[in-house]
Amino acid sequence: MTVIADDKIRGIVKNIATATFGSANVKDFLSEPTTDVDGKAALQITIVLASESSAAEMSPNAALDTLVQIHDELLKEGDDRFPFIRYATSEDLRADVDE
Amino acid sequence: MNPGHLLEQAENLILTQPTGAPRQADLRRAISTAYYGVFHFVMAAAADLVLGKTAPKDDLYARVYRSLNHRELKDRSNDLRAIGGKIKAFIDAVISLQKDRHDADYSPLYRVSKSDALAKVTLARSAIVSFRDASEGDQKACLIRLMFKER
Repeated sequence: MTVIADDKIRGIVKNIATATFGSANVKDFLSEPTTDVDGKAALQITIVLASESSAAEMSPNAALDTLVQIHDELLKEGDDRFPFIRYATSEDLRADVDE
Repeated sequence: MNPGHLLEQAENLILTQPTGAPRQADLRRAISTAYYGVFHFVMAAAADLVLGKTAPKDDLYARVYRSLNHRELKDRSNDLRAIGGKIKAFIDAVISLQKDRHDADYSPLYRVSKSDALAKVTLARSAIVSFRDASEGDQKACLIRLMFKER
């Protein structure tokens, strides 16, 4: 299995997410290794949105198109890790969790 | 079980917090409910394929409906993705939602944002639309590969 470099993954995510959501609606892209429910290597990708309204106003197919395109691009590069994508705002990433 | 009602319920859990930010418990339930909306959709589609859409909702229907499980969806995902087109998109969404559901239901470290929960409900809706938009042949191929093991 090929494991492509983090900066290349971020580049793939950036190209696809900005094309899907528009550059004004996305602020950053994070990528880190994770595992799926069976412990198989996977990727945790976080798309940092400009605001909560970017998620609320997301077009119906935006999340699905983004997921499929990123998965296809990774497979094209020989990396078969599944991209689990999360969405957050900068505030979400800083906020404390209620319990 | 109406999958659309489950997705509405998921959305309500995210959006109806009277004051302040939504609670993690509500967002986790929303994520889990969004996955189950898609899971019940595919179980119903399988039962409809085997017994016909007008079949009575009896024990036989329940037996076919319950013949699918989460494990088979995961284990057969590569085979199902190979069908391509709309089914490929449907399966990617299922696998993504299944992991979120697993984390939301079991992981003490899982933290979900309102943005993410909304995106996952949208993803679940798109998954169902994607399956419905697939050709009849691709829908059948997906359900048969899910229900019956290759020997």
